[in-house]
Amino acid sequence: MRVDRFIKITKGLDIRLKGSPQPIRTAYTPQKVAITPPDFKWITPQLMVEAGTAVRVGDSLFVAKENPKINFVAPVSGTVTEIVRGEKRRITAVIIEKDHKNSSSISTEMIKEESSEEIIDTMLTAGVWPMIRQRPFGTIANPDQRPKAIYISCFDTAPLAPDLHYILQDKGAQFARGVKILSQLTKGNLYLTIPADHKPLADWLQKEVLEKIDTTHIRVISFKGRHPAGNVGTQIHFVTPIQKGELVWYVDPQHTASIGHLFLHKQLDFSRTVALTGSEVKNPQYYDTIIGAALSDLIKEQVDIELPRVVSGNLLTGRNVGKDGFIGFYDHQISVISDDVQREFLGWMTPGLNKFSISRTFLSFLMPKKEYVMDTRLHGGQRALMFSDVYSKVFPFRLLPDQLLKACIIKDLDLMEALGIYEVVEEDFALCEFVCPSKTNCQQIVHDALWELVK
Amino acid sequence: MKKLEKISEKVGKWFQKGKPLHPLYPFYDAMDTFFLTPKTRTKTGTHIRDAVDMKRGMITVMIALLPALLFGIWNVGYQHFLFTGETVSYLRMFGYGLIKVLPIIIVTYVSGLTVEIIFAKIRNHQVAEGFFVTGLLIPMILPPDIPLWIVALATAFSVLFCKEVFGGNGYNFLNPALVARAFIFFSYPKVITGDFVWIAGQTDAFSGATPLAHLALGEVSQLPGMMEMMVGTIPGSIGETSKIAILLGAVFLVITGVGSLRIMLSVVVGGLAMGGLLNWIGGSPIFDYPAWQHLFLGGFLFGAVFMATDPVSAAHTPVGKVVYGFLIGVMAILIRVVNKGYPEGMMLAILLMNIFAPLIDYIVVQIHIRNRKKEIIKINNLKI
Repeated sequence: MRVDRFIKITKGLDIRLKGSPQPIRTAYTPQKVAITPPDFKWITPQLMVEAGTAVRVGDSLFVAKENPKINFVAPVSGTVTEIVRGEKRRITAVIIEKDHKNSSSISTEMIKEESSEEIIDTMLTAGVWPMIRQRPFGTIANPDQRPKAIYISCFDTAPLAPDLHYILQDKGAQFARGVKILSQLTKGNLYLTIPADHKPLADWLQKEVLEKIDTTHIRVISFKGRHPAGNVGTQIHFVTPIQKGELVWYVDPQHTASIGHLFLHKQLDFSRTVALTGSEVKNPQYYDTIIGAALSDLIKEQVDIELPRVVSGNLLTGRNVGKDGFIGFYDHQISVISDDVQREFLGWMTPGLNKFSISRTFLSFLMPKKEYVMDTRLHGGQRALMFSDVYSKVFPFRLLPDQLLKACIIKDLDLMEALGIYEVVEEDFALCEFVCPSKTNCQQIVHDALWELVK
Repeated sequence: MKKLEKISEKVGKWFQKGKPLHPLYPFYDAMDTFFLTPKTRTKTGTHIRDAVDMKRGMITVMIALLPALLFGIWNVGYQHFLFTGETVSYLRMFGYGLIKVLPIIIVTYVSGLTVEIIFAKIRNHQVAEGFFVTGLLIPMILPPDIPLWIVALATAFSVLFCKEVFGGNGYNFLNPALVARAFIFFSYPKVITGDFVWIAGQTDAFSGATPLAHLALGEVSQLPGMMEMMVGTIPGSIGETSKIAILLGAVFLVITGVGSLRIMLSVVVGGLAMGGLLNWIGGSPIFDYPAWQHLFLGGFLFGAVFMATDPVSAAHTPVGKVVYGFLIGVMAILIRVVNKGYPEGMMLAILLMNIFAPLIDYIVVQIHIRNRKKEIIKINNLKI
């Protein structure tokens, strides 16, 4: 197996939870599918359809007001039934009732890959462009700029994360084509990152991808370490740190396969395998379904409790979508935990054998292998930032997390830049937020600070 | 638990907006969350949270303080009966100490929490737990016979002017417990300095000088033995005498990860370095006093373990902590040896370095920024 570089990450935290997905795959065909604009950071949707419009796969649902070239399309054919609006009339979902025709708007002539411009135009019109995101800021990539590198993280270290090799194993050809296509979009390298201790994935990658395409500009980086080693932000930080004015793109591996499918079979493929995980799921497992699939039937079948917290994505960075929600555009995991919080007598004084904590103030630290059932409890009230050495235990970046966060709070742009704000997005502070004894909303703070920078 | 929850809900109604007891809501909230863990759930961001919170952190520090406090209480009785010459049981010594110390603790809490609750109400936030530790630390660094009104005044002053005017818990830049002590030290020096305040119930001018006072006068021969200083059967502030009890607390703080080992060690190293330097200069009994023995004198160890490690007023960067701790050690020994007017250098050393901690952090951050730039150039040159 070819590995161009090995990087060991010493800091981080694996949150040991009950409910990891078992290697079982079931097909799940939803009645309804939705594209949910809150998945796309800082995008204001401009609707191209209204309730009642019939759509084919690949028909535009809305475009980004910020850049109308970025096109969001229907992943299935059917009828738009509802446009859901939330606070301040923001569109939160465009719901399509699926039919069985499976008609598509894509024709073979549309697919061109002679040059990088043609590739980008094809991806924009076909509606797969939103699959490419960029750092800094974690927004959809700007098609008018080119990145200095592209990353595809082939593993996920988040709590209860699915095994991406298990998901991808049948999609080798599409994935390889996707890698090839994407590598043409940058003058720099395309980095495939893998975990150091997952031999089947490494072998699969070697056999199905690296041996089949030209790998002059492709690099394989192996990472060893706890979460967030699998986060693309951590990987970029250690390999090609982003400075002011630089751009790095990143794509999820399943999306890479979808992009590959478009150029390989001249058809759109929005199929997606997600893992249904969490302590409240009866049989945590994998489902072969579609991007944006409605969750209600799955939840009815698999979750019994009255008040579940259904999260699209992992429990650190995912979005609370509710029992009747839809799978997020970028997510390959649904996490379900209890939202029914019980009060506890003198909780701050109990020995805490069943409480997960990075601090050793609970006796549970004596059981390093135990798996925990956690609910949505905040475990305390919000306080000023007091303990200063907690974040640095879980923040692998060679930056100063406390100082960066404080610079974000006071919105001191120069200090933020100097301390490396361009290298982080919200998810990189998720573990800090998890461990914070002052219960600070780190991700929100970083989010607001990033917005301040682009404004 | 359901029963308790219902009672709390019922009582809570009296404190709601528009009800007569509403001004006392922070007090109710503090009591409610004291008995029952809060019901708050995560909203944005991470959906799960680490079980630790400020309450847990603070109770950990309080547990760490217990050995020193309990020994201190007993030692107050022991010193008293040693002075009067009576032979009594250990239990009675403890009882006597309790009668002396408990009122100080109660007065500290009442005085401090009153100010805290008033400010929680004005600022519309919850009562923070920080004071529970401060309220225990203040009695432990005072002499047993201190007049209670002075304790009340000093505590109120400290909470008000050291914490609340800067924004409350977590925003103070000085250690509130030491500010209270410094307030007494400079405003009412008679009750906290000299040779006659360290033994409770002392009636005549019998000298109950602390080892530090002996040292300041150069009476090295009069110092108690190392064993006595370790165990703590010597006159001194209530909680600082037993080095064994303090070390027990230190071990607990380090294991639980609440106290910073980095700071504790740097203070000790700083003290040893300065002591060593003074030994090398030599020339007088106090200069010649072995550096390592300085660690067991006065409040040095107590300060290193419980005061210098206060996460709010200490330096916040990892490197900054080392510099901060080291300089505390240096300053404490320097003040102690060179300035005979203030034999207890630890208090002033920590307060001084509290003031310098932001500057230390600033320098560390600037150096970090410069190094990071070089590091990025290096990574970019790797070209893989």
